[in-house]
Amino acid sequence: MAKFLMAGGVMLLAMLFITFVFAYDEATIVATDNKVSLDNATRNALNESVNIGHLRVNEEVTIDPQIARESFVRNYADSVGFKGGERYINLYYLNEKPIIASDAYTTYEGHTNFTNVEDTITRSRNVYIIEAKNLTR
Amino acid sequence: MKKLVATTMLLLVLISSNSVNANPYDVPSSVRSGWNKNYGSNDHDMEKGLRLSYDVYNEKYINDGYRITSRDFGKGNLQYFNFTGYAVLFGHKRHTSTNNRTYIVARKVAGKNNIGSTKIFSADQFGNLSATEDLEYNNQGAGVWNECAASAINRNNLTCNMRYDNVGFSAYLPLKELFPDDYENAEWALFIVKKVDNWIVYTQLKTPFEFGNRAWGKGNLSMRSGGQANMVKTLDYPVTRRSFPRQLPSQVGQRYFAVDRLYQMVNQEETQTTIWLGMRTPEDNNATRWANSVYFGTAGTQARLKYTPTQAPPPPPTKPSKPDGMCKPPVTPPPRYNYEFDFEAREIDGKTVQANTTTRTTVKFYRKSFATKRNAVKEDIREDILYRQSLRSTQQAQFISERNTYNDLNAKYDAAVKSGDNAKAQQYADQMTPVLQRMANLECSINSLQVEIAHYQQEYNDLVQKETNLERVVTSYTLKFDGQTVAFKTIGLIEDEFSVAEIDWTLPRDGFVEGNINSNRYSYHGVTEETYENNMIDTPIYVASNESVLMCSPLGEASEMSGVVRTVNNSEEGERMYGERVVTSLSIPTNHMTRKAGYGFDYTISSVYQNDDPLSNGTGTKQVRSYFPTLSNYLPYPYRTGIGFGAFSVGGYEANLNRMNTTTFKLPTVYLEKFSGNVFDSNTSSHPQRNLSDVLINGGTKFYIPFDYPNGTLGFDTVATGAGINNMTTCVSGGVNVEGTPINDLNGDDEFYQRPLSPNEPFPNGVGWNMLSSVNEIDSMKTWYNNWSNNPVDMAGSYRDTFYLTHDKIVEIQQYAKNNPLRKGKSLFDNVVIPRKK
Repeated sequence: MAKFLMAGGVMLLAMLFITFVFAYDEATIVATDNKVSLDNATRNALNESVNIGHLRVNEEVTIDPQIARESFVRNYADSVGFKGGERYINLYYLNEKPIIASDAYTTYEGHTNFTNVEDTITRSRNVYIIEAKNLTR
Repeated sequence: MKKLVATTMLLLVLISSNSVNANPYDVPSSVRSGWNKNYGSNDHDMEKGLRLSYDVYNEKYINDGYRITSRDFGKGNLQYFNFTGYAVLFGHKRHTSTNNRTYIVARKVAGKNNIGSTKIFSADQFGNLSATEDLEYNNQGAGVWNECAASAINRNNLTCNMRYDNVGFSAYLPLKELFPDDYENAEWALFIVKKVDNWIVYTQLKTPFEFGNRAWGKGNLSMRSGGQANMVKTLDYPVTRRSFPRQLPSQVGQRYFAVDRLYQMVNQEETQTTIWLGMRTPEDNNATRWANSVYFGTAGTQARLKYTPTQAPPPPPTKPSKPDGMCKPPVTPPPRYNYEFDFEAREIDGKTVQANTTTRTTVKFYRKSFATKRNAVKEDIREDILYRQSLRSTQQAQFISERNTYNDLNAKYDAAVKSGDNAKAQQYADQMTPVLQRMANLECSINSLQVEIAHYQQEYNDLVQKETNLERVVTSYTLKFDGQTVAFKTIGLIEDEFSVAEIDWTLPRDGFVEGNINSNRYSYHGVTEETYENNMIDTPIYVASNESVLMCSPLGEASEMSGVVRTVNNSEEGERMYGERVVTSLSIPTNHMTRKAGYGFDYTISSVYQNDDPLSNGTGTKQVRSYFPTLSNYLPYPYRTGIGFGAFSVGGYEANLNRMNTTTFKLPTVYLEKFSGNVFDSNTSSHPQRNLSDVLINGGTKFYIPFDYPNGTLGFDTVATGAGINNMTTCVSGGVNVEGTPINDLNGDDEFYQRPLSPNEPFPNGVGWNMLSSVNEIDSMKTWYNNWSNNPVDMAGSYRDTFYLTHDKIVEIQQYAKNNPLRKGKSLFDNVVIPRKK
């Protein structure tokens, strides 16, 4: 009997360990996916929204906020690889200046232990600018 | 001294021994009749056979360039004006010992008579001089580089080089033939004529020397070819600025004399055939730089040889003495004066126009006045009449007195006879004899005087009658072009009256236009003109050259072209030639010389037109076009290839420049879509690629480099056409250096780059200039940046934009993006509804 109890205990510990490892890996994947997608979205939105005509004529960089806003959403959606969860992607700073500040939250219903089911939140944040190399014009 | 004499003797022997068949009178009929059919000069094109290049030597053979020497050319030992030089028709044809000769033409421009007459003298080959090496383009030593075929005709030496052998000449002008009258102020203008086979070209002769008051005959000889004879300029390009004569171009590099600029000549070198000129060169800090004289023209004037008598002519024979009252038969000499009148063609001009179009030639005719002379004659006649009338009155009174004496003696004689006093009667008779004789003499003399008075009165009346009949003479005049009559009209002139005739006619080609008054050589009321020598005057006239520069000038150098707009020949003032020129240059702002691909660069074309002729209506460049190798979308400039302008051609995207003011041209204003950067030619463009959702901004007059243009030079040519009467074309080349792109250049050659930023340490390497105004805003992001929320659902209000995405929404966005590229004016959000929160 003692041997059965010993074996059952070992089995239980092993199952708990396996469950923990799986749950931890899934959270990491969601977090990485969110971070990479936000980074892509912000960088590409900044590049794709540069007012090329204004740049050619005035030789300074401005961006089109409407284009940047749409590009941000498109590129985030295009970059996402993980199917689960719900996402809030936010533009904190956006106007004609070549600066975009953004963050993104992903809520994911994951299993953090063997018995409980709860939301896991991953988050990422960044600021990108297009800056002149020279300190004076 | 002995050495000097020996050297002089040797020089004279050399001059004599080197002369071949030197006979100035050996002139073929083709030269006599056709020496002035083709006008050329050092400025003309080689391809037209009109590039007459020559030098008159200043030291090479004769000290000071000229001498007066005695020679016998079969007309006895006569004195000649002698000078030496060389002459070629540069680029026309190979010159050999048998096919080329040089002639000097003298045209009388001042004197008592025969104004306009010409004398032609042969200046035979001399010195076995060859100009082959001197005229060789890219001369690389012995031999001829890139030699033309022996039969080649009219080639620029940039195309191939010709041989010019036996081109030296020694001219002998017979002074007594030019100035036969010891007491006549006379002046001859000199031309040089070059004949190669049957092709004859002439131009004005200019010499490096001039002199005054050299005693000859009964006066002084002088020669002037002065003005700014030491100022020279070139119309050729490129002429290398050499540090010494015949320096290899490869040792100099691309340093050239400016076109049409006057340089001061400070030295000459005559060791070879052509003269090398040393010029003070401002481009090289006034150092002496050298060039071959065939590429330069002197600013001096046409050589004129003048004789001025210093002794007065012998006095005229004294008039016959007046009658002394003794009885003589009447003297009725022929009229002392024949009525004189004379027409003169004083001035003519030749205005350049396009071939086969109308030119207006102005000819100034003049009728000389002889009134002063005639009035003096009339006064002379009147004096003769008055003197005789006075003498007749005196003699009539003497006759009455003598008759009274006779009557008194006769009465005394009758009384003595009546009283028988014969001795007394004889005494009275003896006294009466001389009285009777004196009465007879007086009666005879009075009769003679009456005949003479009637004769002179008739002479006077005849002269006055002629004055009345010839007060205004209507005659004909003709205008001829190269001997063909183009106008025949009439004109009426009183004495001392000028009349200007303006004749419109069609000019077919280059040639001579000639005005001729009393062209039928009529007499009027029996009176013939004093001379017909001055009834004709001519001048060269040219059709528009429509000439282009040989090549486009590089950036920093102007492109220049000049031409003749009008020639004027005035019988008293000589010949003048009015020119026009256009100078076109390109300027690019210094900070636009290097550009990023995608940016624009500005440039300005300056085309300055000058016209020496106050009567000309010539205007400057009419059209300016640039040709680019590339073009930004969507400018509608057409791509053209091989557009020829004489010796050069251009191609590329053709843009018409707009005239900003009289001399300045710039590209037309362009408009760019603010977001896309596409370029359009109008702010109301209807181009199919125009996105009306993208606003247009004014791009100025810059040329915008395509973003994909590779690193390197972007060169372009600009052609300015239609300048002046001669429709001249100039061309300048420009170029900017393209380096990198504005943003995120793959090689890092950019002005802007993208980077992530942490508000906690935003600018570790200093603030880029475009971020200076954003420092505070970035600093204010710290709170947001450093704090996280555990409840993203409720944070929507603190963001500019929040998008709530589910998996299905992401798929919907992906699907939309797949079919709809990002474009200004078409929004994702109009088609996919994305909530701000769950």
